[in-house]
Amino acid sequence: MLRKIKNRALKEQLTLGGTMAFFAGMVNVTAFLAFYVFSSNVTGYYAILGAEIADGNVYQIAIVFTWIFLFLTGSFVASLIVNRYKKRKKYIAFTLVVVIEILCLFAVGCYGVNFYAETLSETEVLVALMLFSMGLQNGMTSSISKFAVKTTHLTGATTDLGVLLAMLTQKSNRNNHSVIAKTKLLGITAISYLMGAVFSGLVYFEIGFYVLYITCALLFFVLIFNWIKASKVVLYSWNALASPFI
Amino acid sequence: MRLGLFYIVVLSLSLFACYRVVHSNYNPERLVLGEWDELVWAYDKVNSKDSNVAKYKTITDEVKNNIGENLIIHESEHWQFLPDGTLLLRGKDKITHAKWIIKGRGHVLQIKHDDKRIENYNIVHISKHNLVLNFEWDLEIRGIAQLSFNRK
Repeated sequence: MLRKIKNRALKEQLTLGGTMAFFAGMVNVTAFLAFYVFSSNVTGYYAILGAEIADGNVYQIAIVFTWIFLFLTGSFVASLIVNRYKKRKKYIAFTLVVVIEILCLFAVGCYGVNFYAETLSETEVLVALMLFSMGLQNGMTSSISKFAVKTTHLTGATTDLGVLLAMLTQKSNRNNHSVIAKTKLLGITAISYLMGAVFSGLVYFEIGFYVLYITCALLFFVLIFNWIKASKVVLYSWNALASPFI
Repeated sequence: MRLGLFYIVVLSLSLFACYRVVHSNYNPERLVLGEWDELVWAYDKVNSKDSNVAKYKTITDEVKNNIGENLIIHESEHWQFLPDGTLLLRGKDKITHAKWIIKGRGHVLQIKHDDKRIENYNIVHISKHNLVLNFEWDLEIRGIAQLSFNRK
């Protein structure tokens, strides 16, 4: 029974990590190709912030600090929403956060398609929105999975993957379910991120900002799928509760 | 409740501070406007085992022509950035028109030409009086050329 629960939990984590990492890869590459900056390279931004402070570039300091701050804010907002809802209403928390993410990305896509004049101010605001949405996503996946899944934190994922692969060289770890599960999770996250990045990179040169519309549509499908699954769980629970009386 | 208010105040102040900086004279889009005279081409990094690296510091005209062969800017000593996004490149005998855009966090100068060619330069330093650009910004490329300009 416990194994069944563990397997179901792993399956959910793999699905969550894989799909959201794919979208994160798409968004990150779109940001790079459109604006020449990344939308989730926070480690890099800390380094850049340090370099800009050393060089005394006031404008760049303000911009990079704001981007980091907005990523943090996105994660903060996601965690607030997830923690507000109790375990049974996890799907509502997921839905709310993904809806906000869709709105942010849709706004960027819409503006990019119709109004973007490539001024620096527009670039900074649009990138800020994308960073906020990535913070939301990373915060949500991290909170929902109790810090097991982080979809835009590839530095940590790659580090942990290296550690786990080294652990698997020992026989005792090869029989350890949690080590194997974690390795699978991180591997799927990295591969999915890369696939999303490649897809976006190929498609962006053909359709530009419309890539973000595709991202929003795919996120929406994920939402629908999760709601259908959630409805079945609620229905099953209701039937289970009601069965003595039927 | 008080903590929530504190968070909101911190967020608002941070965003307001950023807004002020973006719309101040530190903005590279404002700083770059006007006329610039090319001062010197130099190597930012020299890929040479020669101990006397200083002799490579300044790029000769011949090397400059080789580097800038495919770059539209290599024959233009005077640059004029106009507010409407037009860039006038004045050489000895001709004036070339292009479009300029600043991208990224204000560290990339992109020049678009009429023939759809795009050139990207890393803005190393920009102030009221000086502008320093690097060709590309890939740290693995050694022998990167650096263009320095003075305000006219």
